[in-house]
Amino acid sequence: MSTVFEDQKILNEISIQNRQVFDKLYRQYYKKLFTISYKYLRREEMAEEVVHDVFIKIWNLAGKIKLSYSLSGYLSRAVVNASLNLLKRDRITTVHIELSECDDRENETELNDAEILENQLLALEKAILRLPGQCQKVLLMSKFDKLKQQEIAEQLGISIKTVKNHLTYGYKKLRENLEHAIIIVFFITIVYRSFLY
Amino acid sequence: MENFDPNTNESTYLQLILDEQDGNISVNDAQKLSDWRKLTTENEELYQLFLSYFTNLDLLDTYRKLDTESSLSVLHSKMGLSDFPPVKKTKILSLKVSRWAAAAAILVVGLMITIYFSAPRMVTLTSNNNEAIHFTLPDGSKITLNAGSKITYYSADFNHSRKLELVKGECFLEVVHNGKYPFSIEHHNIVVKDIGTSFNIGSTDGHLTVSVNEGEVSINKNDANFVMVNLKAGELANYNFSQDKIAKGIIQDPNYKAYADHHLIFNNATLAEVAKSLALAYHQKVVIEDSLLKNRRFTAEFKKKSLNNIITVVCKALQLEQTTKGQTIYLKKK
Repeated sequence: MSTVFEDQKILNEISIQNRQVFDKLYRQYYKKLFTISYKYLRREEMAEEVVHDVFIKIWNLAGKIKLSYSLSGYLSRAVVNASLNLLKRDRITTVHIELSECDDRENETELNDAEILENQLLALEKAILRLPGQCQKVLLMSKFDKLKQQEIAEQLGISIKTVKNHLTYGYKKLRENLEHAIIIVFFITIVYRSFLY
Repeated sequence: MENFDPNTNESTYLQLILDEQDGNISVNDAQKLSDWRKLTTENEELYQLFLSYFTNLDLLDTYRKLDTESSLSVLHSKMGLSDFPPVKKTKILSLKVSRWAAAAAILVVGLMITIYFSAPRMVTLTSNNNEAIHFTLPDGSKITLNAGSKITYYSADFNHSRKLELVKGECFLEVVHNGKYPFSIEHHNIVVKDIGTSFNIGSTDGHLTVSVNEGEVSINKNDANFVMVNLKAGELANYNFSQDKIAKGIIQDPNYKAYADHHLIFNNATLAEVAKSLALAYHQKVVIEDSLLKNRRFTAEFKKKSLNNIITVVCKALQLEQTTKGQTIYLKKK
């Protein structure tokens, strides 16, 4: 668990060009930062670019960054802002963005979108693993292999009705599993924050 | 799927949501779904919740396929280019394509290039303490700088005056032959002149050791005209600075340049020797926990294998167990 003090130490190391510390930071945050950027941009090469730009900036300007909260939050916010700016600039219209998400974020203190999203994804993955075998398979085929219900039915040699039932059951079960998970995540967040301040 | 009735109200609409996702929903059903969403805010919230699951599943798919290491090496190369534009422009180093990413990464920190902009420009190449680095000199000769080493040369006229200085440490050179412009490397008052060969040169507390892999070199004092000794392939010479004595001999350690080419030969070597050679070649500590094991013998040849790979083979052959703590590998009896 990191504190602002430790985060500042990381930045100090990077400001004297300590590559090990820099690489470690990248390894720690790359996936979640890429994913949050990808959530907005929906273009892998752009998301990659955004994350790289933020880290290049960190490498060059680490000594000048003043953290008002955690480094993790700082990175998340930098990536989200850069992604949103890119969206505005390129006027990419996308159905994936709710208008509310584009609101100005000036008043927020510790809102770590990247971490929240990563936690959601990991919880989702856990919930999927708890689904019964065939149901899990159908759900993954539909989302990860991007197959239509009819195609799944053909590949597995089952009726489309059965595919529908698996999916319906699967999503309902996911929701149940995740609702438990949300309570736990909420609890952890409270503990985490009380630890920080 | 006990306790599951697909015909409950919620399940019916979930199925419609799934059909809509599938792009396979009838006009009638679409209307039905739309009406249901407008009916109560709970319905709309439920609809949005399932949509968020679909989105997150897509994201999870992407998330799971991410490769941090390859992304990091792309980042390194981007930074290598933007951080050291003079390197690219003047082509001081032309890096092998296969090692490009790694080398670019090393460029960032492991290798500090100091270029003095007063002519002639001196280039300093420094490696960090954990890894050897490879590069190609302006004349096409190749150099591997062992960990913790430093060399300098003048870039301005290198092709006509091929002179390096070994400031500290060790390097392995594969020199491109050019009869017109001889190649030499200096350490203090010692000059090693090379006539189109590959050789290793390293300094440790008051000694300079030159080992010839191919071809021939001459070792000279003060200037290139006073020849102390000539060495042929397979020979080495050790010069003691304080006593001003040079000793010539045969290369005994087949692994003297393993840090450069990761080619290791163990011919009935003791485990202690194996551990030492591996540590020198890969810059990681290898500790034998049981002193009785140190005299166990091992024979094998490895070409460009990873340290992990080699350790696994050694462990299998000698029935050892390995554990890794930080940068240190421990070997003990199974």
